[in-house]
Amino acid sequence: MVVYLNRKSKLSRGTGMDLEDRIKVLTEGAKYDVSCSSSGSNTSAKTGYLGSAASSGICHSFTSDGRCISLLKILMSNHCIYDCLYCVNRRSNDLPRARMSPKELCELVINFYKRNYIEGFFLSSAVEGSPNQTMQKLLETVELLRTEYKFRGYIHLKAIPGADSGLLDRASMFVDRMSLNIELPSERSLKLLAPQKKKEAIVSPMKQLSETYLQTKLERPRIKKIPAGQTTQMIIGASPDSDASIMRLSQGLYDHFKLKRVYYSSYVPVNTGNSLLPMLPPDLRREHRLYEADFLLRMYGFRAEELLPEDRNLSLDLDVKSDWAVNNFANFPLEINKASYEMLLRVPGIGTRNAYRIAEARRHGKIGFDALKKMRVVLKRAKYFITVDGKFYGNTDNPERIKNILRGQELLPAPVRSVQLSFFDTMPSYISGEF
Amino acid sequence: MKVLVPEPHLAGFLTAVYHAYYTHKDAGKISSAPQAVTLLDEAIEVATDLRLACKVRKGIQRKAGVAAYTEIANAYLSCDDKKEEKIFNYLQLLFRYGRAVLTMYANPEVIAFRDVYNKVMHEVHRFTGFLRFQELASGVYYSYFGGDNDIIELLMPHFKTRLNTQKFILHDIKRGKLTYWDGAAIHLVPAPDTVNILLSDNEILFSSLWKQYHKNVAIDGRKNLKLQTRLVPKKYRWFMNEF
Repeated sequence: MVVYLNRKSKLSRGTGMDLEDRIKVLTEGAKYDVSCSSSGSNTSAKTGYLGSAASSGICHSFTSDGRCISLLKILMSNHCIYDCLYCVNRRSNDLPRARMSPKELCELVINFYKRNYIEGFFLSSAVEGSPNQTMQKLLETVELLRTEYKFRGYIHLKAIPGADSGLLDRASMFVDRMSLNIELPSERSLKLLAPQKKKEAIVSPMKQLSETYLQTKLERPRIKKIPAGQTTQMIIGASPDSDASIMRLSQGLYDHFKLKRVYYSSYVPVNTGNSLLPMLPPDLRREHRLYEADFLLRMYGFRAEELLPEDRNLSLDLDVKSDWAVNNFANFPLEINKASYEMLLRVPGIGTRNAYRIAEARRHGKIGFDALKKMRVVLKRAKYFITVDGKFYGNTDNPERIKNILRGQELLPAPVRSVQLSFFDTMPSYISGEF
Repeated sequence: MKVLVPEPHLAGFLTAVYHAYYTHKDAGKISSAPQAVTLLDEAIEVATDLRLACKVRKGIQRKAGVAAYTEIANAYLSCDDKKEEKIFNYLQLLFRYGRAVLTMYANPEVIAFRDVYNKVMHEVHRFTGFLRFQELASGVYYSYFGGDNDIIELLMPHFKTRLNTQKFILHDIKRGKLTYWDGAAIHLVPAPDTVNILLSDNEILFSSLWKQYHKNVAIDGRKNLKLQTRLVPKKYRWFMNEF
């Protein structure tokens, strides 16, 4: 039993009010940035320094919308010179404005970290004054945190488009990950919805960061700059761009800029009364399907052109891999005891872990149907695309019928009740922070 | 069937494994769970012998590597009341096939063992995130918790390195276990039934800021309590201050 000896009166808030309100305002302003991962960096602890970074990432809590809290995600300021149509912090919005000083932010991070509330710090800011002024302040904060406060936990810093490359380079020495939001999937949409933001101002620092990442990767640990690489985010459903064009863009970002992740943020109508923006939020299943496709690009060896050969959207009522498999049924069924690891990855119902396990396990002997079941392969999907020791276990090999059966099994909720879905549908990995 | 009944700790279990191979070759299973021995079984109590347990440990390490032994030791921390049987079944394969057992993912015995092991490690991973520390007036950080598995010794190394600059206490209330990091060494202390706590003034401020943050960072339009419950099960929430 734990008994608290503190008197009740100490719980009254008093002097903290001002700080509390500012934190509230700056949290509200930052929460639409979806990146939450704390993975990809492996910083060992060091005596006399606070903190470390686990390569798997660690989730410290989950919010009522089912998102992981891993990092303290906050804006330094929400005073903005820009007036982007989709953004809650746009200049013309009438909302409380606040800022926090580098020292205040550091104190908050350190105290949250010491209590194990968070895995690290995600710092962003509205553009106050000029891009350079803003970037300078952000740099000051992370530098203070690393040097004065001796913090070794995870830091994700947003880079400000239009800031000097020197500032960016200096900041990259102090943080694990940096990101620039590409915001919208095409230049046309950017011009329309964020006319003050220029494509070049976003893309050229991304290019710079990808070079920094690749160069210093070889020189670690002597020089360590953004060891967890860079990510980006785009808003889905605020502009008419198709899923095919979005996935091709992502593919390009992974190929050319070596991005670790692209995040897709379903548009939330935070601002009303503009005819250029949709009135209603898009079907959340679309965001979910884009993430599925994104995982197929990054971890399953698919190319965007394979998943969406023509200019269309992803199917909402069938998962992306099953959709691809029924449309390319000539590749199937695969014999589970013979197919290559790369082909196993393409079977619906077999994930990266089970593809690996199957490839390893069959060296010790043939794998039977029951073993697959015990390994938690999702057989209700996989059985249409595999043979086990020559035997086919599906009740049909007609791709159209399979499509209908799999559609009927879809557990996705109806569009009315929109829900953010999880990526896990078999056994949860204990490395959960990476998502 | 002959059932070997060890003392309920790792050394006891490993002693029983030794006897199953050398003195009671006809033993059908190892279990310290009371319900494991039926009327038809013959129970043989095994007295722990550290020398024999050590032999088994070294045998495992020689046969399948040091990491394989660590997995077994960690799996033993599980709350699964069939863990001893499952680990023993796995060990029999390990002694027969050596390192190969590590990749026999389709073998039902191996799967049963890995399930036990993964559940323990999943809880450890979750708790590295879910544990909450409170700053006491004395400057020491105190954390109480209680999970399904007996994992305090797996949590300590993580926090010891990460929070090496602060003194802290981990207190497993469910099992009455308490460990203390004083900035230089780990101490195992018998846990008292009642712990009296005087919080620092800062603690109340930061705890309330965290609760407020947890609420504000959620997007109301996307509420999904079912998903939240799956990710932070209710059984853990009593030691997390934001719930």
